[in-house]
Amino acid sequence: MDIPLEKHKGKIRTVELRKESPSGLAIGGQDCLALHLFEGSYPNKPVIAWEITDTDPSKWLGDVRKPYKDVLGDPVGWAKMVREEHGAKIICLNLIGTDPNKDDKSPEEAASLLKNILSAIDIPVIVKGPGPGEKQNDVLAACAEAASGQSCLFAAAVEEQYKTLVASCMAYGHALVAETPIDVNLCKQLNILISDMNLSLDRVVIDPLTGGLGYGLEYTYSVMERIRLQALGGDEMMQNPFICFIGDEVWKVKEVKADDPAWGDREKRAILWEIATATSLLYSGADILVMRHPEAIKAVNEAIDDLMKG
Amino acid sequence: MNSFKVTINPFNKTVEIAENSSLYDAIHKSGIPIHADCGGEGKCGKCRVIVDKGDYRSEKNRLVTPEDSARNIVLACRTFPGSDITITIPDKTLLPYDYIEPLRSCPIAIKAETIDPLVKRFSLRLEEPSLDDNISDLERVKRGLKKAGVSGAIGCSLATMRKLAPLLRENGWMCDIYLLSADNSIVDAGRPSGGSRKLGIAIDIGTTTVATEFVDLESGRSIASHSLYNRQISCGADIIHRIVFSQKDDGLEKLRSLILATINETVKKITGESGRPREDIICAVLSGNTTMEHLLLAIDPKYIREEPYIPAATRFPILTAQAVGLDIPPHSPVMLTPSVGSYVGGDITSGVTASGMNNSDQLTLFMDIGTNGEIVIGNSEWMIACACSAGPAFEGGGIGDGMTATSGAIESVKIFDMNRPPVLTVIGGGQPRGICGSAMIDLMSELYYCGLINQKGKFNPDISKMIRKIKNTLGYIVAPKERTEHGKDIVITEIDIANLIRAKGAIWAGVSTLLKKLEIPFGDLQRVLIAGGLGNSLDIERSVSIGLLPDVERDKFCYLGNASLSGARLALLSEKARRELDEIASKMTYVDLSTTPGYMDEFVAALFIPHTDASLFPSMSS
Ligand code: FES
Repeated sequence: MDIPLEKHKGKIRTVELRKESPSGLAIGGQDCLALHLFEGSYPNKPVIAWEITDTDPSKWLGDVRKPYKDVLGDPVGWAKMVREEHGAKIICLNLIGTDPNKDDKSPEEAASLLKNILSAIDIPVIVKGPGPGEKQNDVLAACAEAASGQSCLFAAAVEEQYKTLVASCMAYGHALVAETPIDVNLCKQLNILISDMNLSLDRVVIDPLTGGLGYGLEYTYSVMERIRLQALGGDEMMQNPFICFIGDEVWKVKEVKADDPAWGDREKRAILWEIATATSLLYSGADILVMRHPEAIKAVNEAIDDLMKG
Repeated sequence: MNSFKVTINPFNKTVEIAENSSLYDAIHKSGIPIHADCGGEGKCGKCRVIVDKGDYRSEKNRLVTPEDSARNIVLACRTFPGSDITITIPDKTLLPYDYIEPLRSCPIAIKAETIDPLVKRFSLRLEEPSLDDNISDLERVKRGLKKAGVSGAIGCSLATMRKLAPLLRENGWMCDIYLLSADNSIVDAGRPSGGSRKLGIAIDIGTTTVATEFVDLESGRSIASHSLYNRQISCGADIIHRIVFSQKDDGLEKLRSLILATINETVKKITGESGRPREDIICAVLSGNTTMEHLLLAIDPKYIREEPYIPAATRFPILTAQAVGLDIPPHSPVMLTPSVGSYVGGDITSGVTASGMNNSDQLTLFMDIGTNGEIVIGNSEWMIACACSAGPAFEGGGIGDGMTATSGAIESVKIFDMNRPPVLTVIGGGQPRGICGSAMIDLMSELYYCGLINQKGKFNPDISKMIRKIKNTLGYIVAPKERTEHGKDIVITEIDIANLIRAKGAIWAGVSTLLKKLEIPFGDLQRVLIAGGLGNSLDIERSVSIGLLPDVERDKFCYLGNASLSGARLALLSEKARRELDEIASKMTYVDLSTTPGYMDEFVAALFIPHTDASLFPSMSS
């Protein structure tokens, strides 16, 4: 029997990260919906980025601190550990310590840390700033300069604050994350604004903003699908891979934190929560999943391998 | 219970209010009109006043900064006197009292021979009664009318009967009889006028402005007109806040008296200027949205706002000026144009009548761009309407230096040199004191196409010397202080632009949702008619360039001005128009956008200049 196949006009752009390194990665590039291997070509598997932080993430729950207990507060060691022990293919360096309300670390500190990490490991690095505000601009600009030519992925440009980051990424050869609050049109608008500054959209990854399972996940799911359908339909302003920052969303929800014995073992529940969230987003089209717990990452990696067997 | 005296400057007016009443209540009591977009809910920050002397208690509010408090600037609606108190209302809070230049109304000429006014004059010469011809005075008048061509039963008002006997005898059995066409009833009788004609008044009751026009009922000529801000603004800027206000104690009565005060003020002004006495007025046609018509008649509008959104009435019998409260001769018939539903009112049936789209087989899009944007699509066979809440931005509301299209308003703007002030035209030709809707459209377009703002309306501060930091935001100097009437810079800020983008986005979303629902592509539209208070110099090209109007051939567009007022004038003059109003009201189907899926998406997509989907604006891509 012939299976009727959907042929799409559009194709997702390929974003290359750390292309100078043998362990560089390409993401995106497919011309079909998420995991529809039977429908088109899917040159690059979705990947999981291991989240690490520049200072001891004191707010992280014990369950997700435990696996990293020897390297918390030692970001270079942490990066090496996930690379060497867990085979990480990409990491996400979350610069929470630069937050003016936390340790208020200087942009220079962040930049030199990034340099050290890049020389300690050969895989791509996602650099996440402390969040919108003056500080974000300074921190990310310093990091972009320090990592010149290493094609990192910087997070995140938002509608109210994108120009400095776009300029830095253009100047130093990086890609960036364009973040918009769960809306098809806002997503496209930010991409237009960014491309109006002449940054090639081959260097843009979309963060549609994710909710954890039970916290608006289904909404993100459908918005991601709609963005994809529009992209594959030929809308050039939306043909970008997706990144989903799952760790933060999952590890703060009540169901993950609660110690209620009636809900079963908490650690197991928390890991499952992260797995369920990540898997759902995989089905809606995520190309990079930023995650925390090694066991969750392991399980989702296995799922990706299975799904990508076709 | 205690009461306090509140003295309000610069008017030096003192009112007494009960303990626990707010300064907002006091201002209301004084009758001084102020801005209060949220209707006293403490949410808009428009009702700022300065306390000069006296004790008071102010509720904490995020709209009042510590610096404000230090200078005794408070929100009137959140402040309660603790003693006798003196306050000053700053200019920004005051609702401007000045008259608004009337908008050019539709270019509809009505032929003298087709004029058939709402109230028609018959000059009668009657036979003197005798013992043989002894019918009553009234029957004699009716006989005279029949001879003059009136058919069917004829009625008569009590007031007329009372004056008939002496009138006929004093004038040698000659008189003028005024007959209401709707039911052939005599509404007034007078001495033979020998040609001096009576007037009708057409009134458009807008949420933001009220426009009144005196019309010669026999020639159809417009004698004079005036517009004024609707004083109900001090009870809230839009209909939702007005309805909320109407639910307070005396709220409904208060709103009724404010709209009457506004209308009566325009009438007074015109009688003063035109030299025509009030007594010359014989009838009126009023046209307003459903809520405005309810409030005018003090009919509770409460359910207009609650699902399933049912108004108390959509058609009103012909009333008398006395019953309505208009300050014109008490027996004058007053007609209100019929509405379709809660959110498509008499202003729309009236505007559509004036536009003539109901008599055309061309597929027409009619857009009334006001505080409440209304959109009608159709032709002589069918019509579908929807409404969207655009807000008062294009009429000057919610825009720092915004004003309605009246003398002193900048009406068009052109940027020649990014580092110098733009070239302006000002209504009346003097120095400017604000910006009206048409100039706001020009500004958005010029700023965007010169690269001073991005598609989201955010400034590129490094690109022009005319962009300055203004309070917590950025602004573009439209007219520097040396060249303005009040000696202050006239600016448009990022916040203003965001408001304008929302307003145009709401209107666009209404149009595109409706067209999508009907599966009509923009290209199929044969005519696009624009009505509303944007100002006479509305530039179609620029309106398209910002995504307010669809990108169709420019010769399809026509700007109608205040179509609601034109429709009211037509209803004064033409029986056909009065019939059409009724037909349109019955024929039009209303679509509720709030329950239409996709509206929100269309709205967000339109929050971009010109639009997120550039393919909708092919002529702008070059
Ligand atoms: S804040 Fe007082 S009326 Fe809106």
